[in-house]
Amino acid sequence: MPDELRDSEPGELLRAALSGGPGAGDDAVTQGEKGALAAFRAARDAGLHASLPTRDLDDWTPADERRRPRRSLKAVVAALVASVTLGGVAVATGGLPENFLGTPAPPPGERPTRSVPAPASEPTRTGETGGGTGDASRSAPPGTTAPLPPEKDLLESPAPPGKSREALCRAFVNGEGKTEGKAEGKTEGKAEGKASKSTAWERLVAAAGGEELVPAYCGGDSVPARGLAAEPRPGEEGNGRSGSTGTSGKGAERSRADRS
Amino acid sequence: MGVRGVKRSVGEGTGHAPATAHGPEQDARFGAGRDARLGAVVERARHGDEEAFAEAYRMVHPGLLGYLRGIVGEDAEDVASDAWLEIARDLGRFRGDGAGFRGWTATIARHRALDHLRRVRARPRPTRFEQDLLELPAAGDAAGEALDALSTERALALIAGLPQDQAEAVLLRVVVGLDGPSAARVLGKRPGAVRSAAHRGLRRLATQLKGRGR
Repeated sequence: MPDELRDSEPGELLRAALSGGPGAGDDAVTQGEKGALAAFRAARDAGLHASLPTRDLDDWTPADERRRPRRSLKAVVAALVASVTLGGVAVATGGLPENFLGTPAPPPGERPTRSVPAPASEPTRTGETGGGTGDASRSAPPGTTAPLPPEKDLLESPAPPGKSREALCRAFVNGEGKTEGKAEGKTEGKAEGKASKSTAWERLVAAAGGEELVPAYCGGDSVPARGLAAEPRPGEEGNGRSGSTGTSGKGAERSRADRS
Repeated sequence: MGVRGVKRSVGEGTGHAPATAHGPEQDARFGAGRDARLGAVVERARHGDEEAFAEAYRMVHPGLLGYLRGIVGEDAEDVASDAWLEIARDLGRFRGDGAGFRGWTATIARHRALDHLRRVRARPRPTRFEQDLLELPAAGDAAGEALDALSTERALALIAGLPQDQAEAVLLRVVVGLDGPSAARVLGKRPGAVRSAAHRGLRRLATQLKGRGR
């Protein structure tokens, strides 16, 4: 392009006519050159060449116009290479691909249960499932942080520590008290049978480790008499007696009855 | 025959240097070589070498003068001296290679030329007769230099017939020897606009030259 212009015939002629010899006799050339050289020496000796700052219009480094696009190209290529490399690293570490490939289905369901029993109650399950995937789920931070909240819920129900145990026992005691208060003779066994088969009861039994052990499990704190009442199995036999055990106020009655 | 001879001697003698090389091999080699040489010389001059500065002057001045002739006519010598005073003073500011030095000096020369034109327009114009008188000696010199093909006077007349943007684009590209982007930077315009202006200007010159039969 540039030489197409410059080497064109009008271009050649123009250059020859304007920048060639005309008007540039030896005298003129030397005159102009002398003046320029004198100015050069003056500026140099005055230290101007070292002190004057470079402005934008003085910076004609090739990077300005011709190489900038090349550099940006290089930058683009470098960014591409970097992304591919880092992506490869991510694949190699194995954290990402498990989620991206077919394996994710088990983790969401299993993670909570796996992480729940892990601390205490059911070590066998963790043993079964913890083959190859267990490590992966633990190694991936995002996966483990998410299931934590549900984990708490699941943790409390199977192994009720303090509060839930109290709650279960209270429900048991209340239920007994009601049935006792309503019908001492009427619906004795049935009502209690229903109550005892409620989920709360089942949980209590499960927590205690057996129906016989429920009183012992709940015993101790509020009502010492409950232990007595529980011995003959609250659900079936001890209606009459257990009824008297309900509250402390009735303890007097019971004592009379015992005497009589 | 005179044309050929002049062209060859001009190509070697004026320091014209194409910045990019697509044309005839000889020109390209000369151009690249000359720009590299110019860059080295300018670098030495920036560190105080007076001889190097003189060489840079001889390499750059002819193209600069031709460009100024196209803009300010017979005042080109004076404007060029002003420009060279500024170039000599500000040489320490310059950063770049040989092609960059051509662009930088052309920018300075253009500013001086525009200042000059402003001054000239502010004062009363010379009469038509005075202008003719002033232009005559230049024509005589051109004849003396055996420029049979295209006298300086005719060349200036042709340039004067072009719109300002085309004239400047042609001069910077063809006479100073800048590449497209550098010429655009000197003119403060987009490269595409300068490119099309240079093409249109040269096409117009070519038709006028053919019309006159040279």
